[in-house]
Amino acid sequence: MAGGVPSRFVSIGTKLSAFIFALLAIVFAFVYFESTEKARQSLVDAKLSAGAMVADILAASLEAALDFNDNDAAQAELNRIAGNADVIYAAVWSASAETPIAVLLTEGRGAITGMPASREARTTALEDRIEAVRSIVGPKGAKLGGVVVHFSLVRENAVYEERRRRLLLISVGLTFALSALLIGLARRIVLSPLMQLAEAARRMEWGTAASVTVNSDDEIGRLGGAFNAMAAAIVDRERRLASARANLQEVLDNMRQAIVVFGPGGRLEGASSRQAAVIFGEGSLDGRSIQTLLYPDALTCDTEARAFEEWLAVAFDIHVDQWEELASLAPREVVLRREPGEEMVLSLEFRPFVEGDSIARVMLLATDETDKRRLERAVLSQEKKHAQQMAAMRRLVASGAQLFLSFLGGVKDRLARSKALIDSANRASRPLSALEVDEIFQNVHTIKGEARAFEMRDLEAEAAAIEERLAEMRSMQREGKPLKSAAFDLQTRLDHADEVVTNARRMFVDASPIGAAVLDQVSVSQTALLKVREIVLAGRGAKGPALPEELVEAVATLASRPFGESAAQLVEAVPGWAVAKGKQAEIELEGREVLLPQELSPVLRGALTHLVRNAVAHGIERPDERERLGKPEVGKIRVRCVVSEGASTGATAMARRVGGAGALGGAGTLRSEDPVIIVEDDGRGLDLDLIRARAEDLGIPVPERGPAELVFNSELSTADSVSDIAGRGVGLAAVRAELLSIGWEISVSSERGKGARFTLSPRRSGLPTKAA
Amino acid sequence: MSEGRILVIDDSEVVLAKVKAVLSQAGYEVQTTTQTVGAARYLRACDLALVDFHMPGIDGATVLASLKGAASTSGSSCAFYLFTSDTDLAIKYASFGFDGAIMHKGDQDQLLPQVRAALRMRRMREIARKNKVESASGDGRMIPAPPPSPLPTATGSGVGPTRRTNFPPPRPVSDQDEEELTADFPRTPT
Repeated sequence: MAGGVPSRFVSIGTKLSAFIFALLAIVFAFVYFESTEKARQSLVDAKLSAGAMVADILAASLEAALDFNDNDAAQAELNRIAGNADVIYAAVWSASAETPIAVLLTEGRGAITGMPASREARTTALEDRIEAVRSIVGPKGAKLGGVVVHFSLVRENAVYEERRRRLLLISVGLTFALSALLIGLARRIVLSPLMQLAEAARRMEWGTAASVTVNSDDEIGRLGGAFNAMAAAIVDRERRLASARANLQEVLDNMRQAIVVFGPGGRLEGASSRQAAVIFGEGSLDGRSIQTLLYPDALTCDTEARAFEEWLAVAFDIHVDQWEELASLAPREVVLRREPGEEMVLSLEFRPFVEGDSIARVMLLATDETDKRRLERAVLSQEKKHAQQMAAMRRLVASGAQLFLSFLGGVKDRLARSKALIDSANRASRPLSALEVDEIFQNVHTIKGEARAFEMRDLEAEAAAIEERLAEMRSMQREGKPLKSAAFDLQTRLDHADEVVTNARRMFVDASPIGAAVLDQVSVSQTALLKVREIVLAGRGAKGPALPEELVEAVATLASRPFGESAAQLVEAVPGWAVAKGKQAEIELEGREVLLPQELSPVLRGALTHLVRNAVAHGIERPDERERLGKPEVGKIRVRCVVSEGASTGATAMARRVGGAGALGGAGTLRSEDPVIIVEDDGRGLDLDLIRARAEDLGIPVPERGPAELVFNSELSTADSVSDIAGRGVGLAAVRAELLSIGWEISVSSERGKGARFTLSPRRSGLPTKAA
Repeated sequence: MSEGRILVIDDSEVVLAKVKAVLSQAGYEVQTTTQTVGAARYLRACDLALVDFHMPGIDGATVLASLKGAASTSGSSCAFYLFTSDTDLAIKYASFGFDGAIMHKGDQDQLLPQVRAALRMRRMREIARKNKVESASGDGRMIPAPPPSPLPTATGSGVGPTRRTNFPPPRPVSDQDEEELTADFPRTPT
């Protein structure tokens, strides 16, 4: 719009006024000249005819005087017209003379004397007079002479002047008055509304709402109406635009991402989200360079900045089809480092604005992932810490809880000793002596080594830091430099190490389910314990004062081992055995905590392995077969150690009873609280018919307790063919023999197709036994 | 498929171990060596080589000159980057003949973004080069060549070729080398 304004602005009002004025001036000038000319003509014409008449009469009256050459008479005739106020000059001449024979001059009337240039008869209007020339002819037609009379036009001229002046005044007055009237009308009808329109348009341009008052129904009125409609439409559109812009801004502002748009050259343009200001700094981003925003203060050798610069250089020159390839070459992430240590991680996403076949602008969505990244790191470090703790736990279990506790106690002692040294120095307001520093160093060095052994990284790091500080102090002392009187930083670090130890104890011991039991225990060499047991048993068997039963039981309890110790390895082994046989099986252990006599442990381990392997190999069916039989695909083996009915749950009490009833009891009877170990599976069970038939073939009698007992028969069970048919492997005879040797027995029961159950229990009586 | 193949030459085993850990975890195939002699044999299948500048007895520029010679003979399009923690040195990468610089050597967090950027830049140039050939043969599609590096390249700077005689020529690839090479950079058909 601004470009359309001509350099010299002349308003339409001025032009119209000038035009009206000029037109009226021409019209009135024409009217004026026409009317003045005519007015004079009529005045002169009247005077001409009057003058002609006077001249004719004078010429007639002069005929006789000239005919008789009577000059006086001629003069007299001339004098007769002297009374006419308009005659200013008259002269008579005869044909024979050159000079006038009679002249009439009126004084003061401005007469012009002399003969006229031509003596032809005529009446002529001159500027200020009328000249009438007449020939005087005799009766016989002879030319006698002539007469000239001048009539003054002064009076007519004066009248004409007066009239002309009046006409001029009227014309000018009318010109101005009419101009004013027309201009006023034009102004009111055309110019004023137009100016209003112009003003309103200007206001619209400034962005304020505007309308014009429409007073007429003519073209101008319609123009005003159209303008008002247009203005309303513009206002409405602007309102909608503003609302859309506000909505867009709101959407942008509510987005987590910083959104900016940049064009060729990498300059930002248009709206950006509130997050953009948060990330890239306050103030207008318009016109800023995306390169500088993402890589501020980048050196020329900064590879990331260079890669983006190259990317930016080609991003707007590619065909739209190539965008995907190019986008894959854009940076996915940038780290803004404003202050040292203050990092902001932005993940970047670039989206194209396509125009035709090319990329017109690119939108960047930058998400602040600093917190996420920090969290990830924290999780990673937690995981690492956890792994370290687990390692420490494993080490703890491997080394024995007692060792760990003594380590913790030792650390506590060393820390306390070191702190005491610092305290005493601080109290005396003196620096630590070289000897004191050395002692603390030794303490801390030991702590560091032990912490490493237990994989307690925090403590190790803390000890290392203290060690470093002490080394510094040592070297200062060696160089003879004075130490600061108080070693508060050292004290703080020692306190922190103390805290780490307390936490470790809390975590691994106090809060641990086995912690209390661990604290209740002491480590005793097994050899020493067995020796005691031997002495007790010897004393018991010997003659003399009987040993108290409690002592015997207490020793048995001390030597007892939990069932879990013998059975634990099965849990990991069973799935592997099953897979090797093309089967699926799982094991369920019960009663891990039940204490068993010490001498059972080594035998039981082998026995359980044997029984469970057999169950997997021969008892559990293949998955397809199990499915056909309506059993779960995964076979189940249960290994339970139960205290037979009514037993209390106290492990020590049980062990006491076990100890009494088991090996120590010798030929005792099974008491109601004695433990029983059951190994059962849900496999195919024993094929008793086949076992019986096989026994008959071999001439082996069927035992009283049933054909199942035959599986423990060494003759039968060592036969390979039976092992497969019977569904049980070889060596059960060996297992029974082993158990019997320590006073335990094994029995079997089975239901065809449902499984087999082996029961291990302390021997009741009857069968021979070896001495333990 | 690996993200790219990277050769790292540095005299410190510790640095190499850390760099290898970071880059391997990010999916790159990494070959590290403290040996400047014979390092050229790794170049053939390599996308990016990071070369330490200060190494005992030999400086990075000399190593680079030798490596570049070997790369051009074997037709490798490996990009060579100066691997340093010295910013003042990094700025002068081009004058030594490097394609760029990987800075902040000690900061593991900053390594990966720079390596990625270097490989992106290499890829952009590759595409530009390819398109140039294609457009010359009548294919209209192209990504125009990227702007020239702001610093002059080292050709004729006197650092490279003049010193090449001091450096043993790249030794021929033996069968054993071939095996090592294949083991580290299994070549996939492209």
